[in-house]
Amino acid sequence: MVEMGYEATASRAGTQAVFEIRGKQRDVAAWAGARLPPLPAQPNTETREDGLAICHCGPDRWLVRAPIRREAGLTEALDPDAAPVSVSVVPVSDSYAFFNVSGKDADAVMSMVTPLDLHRSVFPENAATFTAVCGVRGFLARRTRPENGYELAVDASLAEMVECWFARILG
Amino acid sequence: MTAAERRLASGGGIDRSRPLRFTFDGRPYRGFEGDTLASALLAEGVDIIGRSFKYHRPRGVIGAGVEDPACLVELAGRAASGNQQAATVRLRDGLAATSVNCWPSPELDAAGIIGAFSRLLPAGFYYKTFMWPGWRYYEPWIRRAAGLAAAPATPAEGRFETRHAHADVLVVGAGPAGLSAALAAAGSGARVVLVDDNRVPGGALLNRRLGIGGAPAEEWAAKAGGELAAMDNVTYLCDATAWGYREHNLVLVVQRNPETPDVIERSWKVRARRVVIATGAHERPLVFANNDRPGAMLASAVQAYVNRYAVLPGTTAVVFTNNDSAYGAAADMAAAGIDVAAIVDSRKDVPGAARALVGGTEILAGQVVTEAHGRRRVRSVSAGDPAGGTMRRIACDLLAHSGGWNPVVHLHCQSRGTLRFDDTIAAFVPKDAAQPAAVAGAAAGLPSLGDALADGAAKGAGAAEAAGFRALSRPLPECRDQPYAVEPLWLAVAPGREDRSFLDILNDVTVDDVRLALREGYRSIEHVKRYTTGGMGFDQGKTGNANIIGTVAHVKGIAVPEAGFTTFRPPYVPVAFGAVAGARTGPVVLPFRHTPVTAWNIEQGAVMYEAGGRWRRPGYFPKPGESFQDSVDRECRSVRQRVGVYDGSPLGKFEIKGRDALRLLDLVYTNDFSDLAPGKGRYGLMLTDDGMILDDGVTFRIDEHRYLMTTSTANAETVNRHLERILQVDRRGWDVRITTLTSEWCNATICGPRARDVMKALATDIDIDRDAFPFMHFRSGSVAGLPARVFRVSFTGEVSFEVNVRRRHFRSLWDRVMDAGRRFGIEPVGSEASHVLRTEKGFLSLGHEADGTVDPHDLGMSWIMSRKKADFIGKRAVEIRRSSGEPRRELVGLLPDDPEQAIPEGAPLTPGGSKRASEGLTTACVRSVVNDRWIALALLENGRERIGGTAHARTRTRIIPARIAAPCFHDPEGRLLRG
Amino acid sequence: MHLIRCPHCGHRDESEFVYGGPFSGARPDDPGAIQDEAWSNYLTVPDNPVGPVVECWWHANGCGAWVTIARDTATHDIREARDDRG
Repeated sequence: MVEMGYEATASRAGTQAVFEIRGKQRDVAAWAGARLPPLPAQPNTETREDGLAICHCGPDRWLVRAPIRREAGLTEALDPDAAPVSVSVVPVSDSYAFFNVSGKDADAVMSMVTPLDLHRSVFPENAATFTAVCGVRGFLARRTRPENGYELAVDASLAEMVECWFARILG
Repeated sequence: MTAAERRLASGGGIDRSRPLRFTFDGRPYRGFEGDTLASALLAEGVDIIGRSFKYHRPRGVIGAGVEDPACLVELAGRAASGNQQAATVRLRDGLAATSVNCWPSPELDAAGIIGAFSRLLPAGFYYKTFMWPGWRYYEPWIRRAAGLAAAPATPAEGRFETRHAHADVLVVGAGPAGLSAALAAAGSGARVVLVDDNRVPGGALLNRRLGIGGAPAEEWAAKAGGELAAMDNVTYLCDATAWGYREHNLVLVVQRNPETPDVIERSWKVRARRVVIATGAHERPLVFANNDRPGAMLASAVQAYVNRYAVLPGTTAVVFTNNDSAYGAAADMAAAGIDVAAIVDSRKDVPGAARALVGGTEILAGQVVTEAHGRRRVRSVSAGDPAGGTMRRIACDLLAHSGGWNPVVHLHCQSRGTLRFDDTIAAFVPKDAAQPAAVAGAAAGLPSLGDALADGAAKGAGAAEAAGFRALSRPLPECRDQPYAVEPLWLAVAPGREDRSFLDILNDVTVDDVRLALREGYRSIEHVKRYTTGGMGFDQGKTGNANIIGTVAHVKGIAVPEAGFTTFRPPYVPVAFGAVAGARTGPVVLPFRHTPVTAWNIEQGAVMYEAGGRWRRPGYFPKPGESFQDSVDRECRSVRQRVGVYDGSPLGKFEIKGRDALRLLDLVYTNDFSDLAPGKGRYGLMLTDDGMILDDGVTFRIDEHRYLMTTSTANAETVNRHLERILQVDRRGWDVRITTLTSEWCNATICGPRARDVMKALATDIDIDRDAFPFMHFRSGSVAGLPARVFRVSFTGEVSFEVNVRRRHFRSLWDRVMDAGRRFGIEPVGSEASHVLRTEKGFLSLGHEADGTVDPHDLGMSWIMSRKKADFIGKRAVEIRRSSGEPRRELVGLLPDDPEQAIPEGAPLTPGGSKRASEGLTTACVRSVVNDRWIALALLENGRERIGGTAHARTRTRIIPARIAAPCFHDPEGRLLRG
Repeated sequence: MHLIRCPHCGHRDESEFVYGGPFSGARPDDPGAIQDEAWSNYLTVPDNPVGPVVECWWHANGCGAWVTIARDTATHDIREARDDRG
């Protein structure tokens, strides 16, 4: 009796290399600027270059993401243990479970999990932010490749709960 | 009149090619696509649809939409739900509905009791009649006899949804003003959400015969609706009702029958920059005796059933009015074949434009209908001059009445907008908005169609402009309207008949009830409302409130605006709980968290608990044939005698870095961290500034400016919030940054006398010799080939290695620990055993021993309150409280005199077990494997100096004496854990 | 459900925030120098006016900022959102 309601998929994605960097912009740029894409000037936007993305996700707070295969290289480049006292560089790849939401009805599905306005005029292609997702804190970015949709990440311990949410929404 | 004669052969918005079958109270009926349950029942000649709330009077259809106060039904089957309004239930094939307030059935009521019963139920009956010996004796009976629908016994098939939407302009209502507003706003490019409770656009235009742009008005509406629906920047939600207007322009909407197949109802939370409220107006009834009798209907409803549903609700009608709009209704009734016997108009001067609509129909100007007659349905009415003279009986089976129109101001008022009384239309109309919103059209008190179109266009354009868009002016269509003028008439009742003249039909509130309330001193309109329950039903007084206010004013001899009005509250229509919850039910009603071995725990048959911080954790691991106690004892023995492993992953973990990191630790912990060397850890206690215990945990120093803090599982978020608040609000200049690592690192806590053997078997490059790696130190290295951080702390009192690895490695570490530990008899340990082990040691468990009244001294932890530090959070409050010298409850151990007697956790301790104020409580009680008996921890007044004495736990069934002991029952010197 | 302006993120739904209580100034540097009664009042006797209050909210599900706002308890109007980025 239950038909598939939506043309959308929400699937668990693989682990990404993630680093949380905290510190004043000038300190962060001084330590890691040369190894990263330009730090985004606008809050809650991401600059992406060569598979590497850096998001200005909070006051003095930056999130670096890359494919997991680049984790070792990034660890070496960002050298968390050697970072100056004014900059925290912490590898947090294991802290996040990623999901991809795509398909014709991706926006409808997202409107059921987040109160955030995802209209392109306010959440454009380079947008990336922490917001409420499935009632918990989640990272959300617009995704254009391989297809239009969203990338979202929640605390890894909540992955099963988010899967459960999507299963309930997508029937 | 047969059923076939009641349905017109042509016209209306129904689809005669799509007949539908349905049942009502078990009997089969037929209707058409486009019908509501109410229109189909009317067409089938069903007069009585329910019985009234208090007096069980027969009730039939009165309205044609949400304003109907009488016809409440329960739906069975797929979308089972109670308290649905028949006039808003869309007819579907196979619909099964039952009436709500019927005992034993709507047709055959237990009539004999009604008279006696009604005497028991005057205004305030809740507070008077049923006071002795107690409401609880009456409640079940009253609920059955007079209550609302029962909750469905089974869950609805299908599901509910909640969506968030964002709009530049939200327009509520797709009548002429709403459509006009939406067109104007949408033309500007603004994102528009249009919400309307009908399935087709048009609002009141669907019920009347007006013209716009040279065509029937409903055609204009259909075209406008189609145009809007096709626009990319417009979301048009039909069959959807805006039921709540919250702060900051958040409007709550419930959408019925959405297009998604298995979705029963969908909620929308629409956050709008601007809102245009175009909710139209509701006709108000006139107040005369038996105005609730089936066959007495709102004139606009009769008009709607005739025009929209092609149903004739009667054969011969009397129209009773105080205004012009009923003349349009009368004209449409006559055109459809209803014999309009007379129009009774309370006004002495009836405008010519109104008269012109009804041709030669007899008009009794300056007269009123005082009473409707007929037991089960109107058979005749009494009409005459209210000032006196003879009453005339007019035979009819339909009484269409109209007391004027009330703007639907519910949303405006929910948004905290104000009202004023407009004498021209004798109704409350919106005055000032309190949020970025505007009211348009009839809802704003503009009864004419031309005004509604113009006002809608202006408000829609204004809203778009205010939201930053440029609205293009659009020519307004010509329209053909009908006149509207009204003279208020609040009561048309003959003396002695006020006990059957209804103000609030849903809640059975009569004119008598309001008089009684006023007589008994309830002067404020809000008090009259509560005392009579008028306006407190699910319909929120849509038809009743204005007449209650008018009656109060009339009785008190004051002007209507002086009587005031009551607060409008959400929900505007009944909303299913499911629609409010949306997807957030069942397993996801609250968040839940897993570690990488949660699945393994479940495979092992662990009994899973919901623990602090939303984690699902194993409580214990029962083996076949074991009791709860057997399992817990076995797990405890493995730790005390051999080795156990505990999944400590949920422990809160934070990296703290910066020049002022140590300052932060010294501010938040009660003890001193300044001499902590890199590589070492220290147990610390955190207080809030009111001196109560916030958390405890071990913090390690990684290097000069870098620390790793651990917190209790349940308080990880709270501690994070506490620290961030200090850094961002109180000590903004400090250089400290915190990064959450709770889910980054998972930990297997290997504990017990053979723990070191297991570590060796796992293969590690860390020197785990007790001298090389002492208690309260940490090391980084490789364990089982995985990069690891190992902590030597202990929550069990045994040698422990907390092996932390990245989350991705944890399952593999866990498997290897179980493999390596097998020959040492390793067991997985759940939270029950952990609770026993820590209780044996007297280790603090927040939420058990620290309950928000307890300070560290009470717990025997005075040593942790630094005397060296000038300040730490909580220091002053503890000092001030202690300075009073009042006795404190102190942590002690309890040994029940009967070693096999448990004390329920939480049981109060009273002096000598007597029935006096408690002097403490039992915080934990477990069966100790090392002592082979029950042991307990308790907070007891002046407990420490009473050690050796006896305390008494007092439960409902017994008094349990216990010897007071020191709060540690195992290895008090702590030699084992340092081993 | 409020709409609260975060200095980093702009207007966000209340469900992203955790209420942090009224704000009565940063915690004093030296509580030891404050009279007992004054300290007790500081901890336990917050104003509870009908009208504007200054209060803290934690953008817990968002960027993590602590936000200080002036909110009218009678109308929920948020009159001022202070930029705490310093």
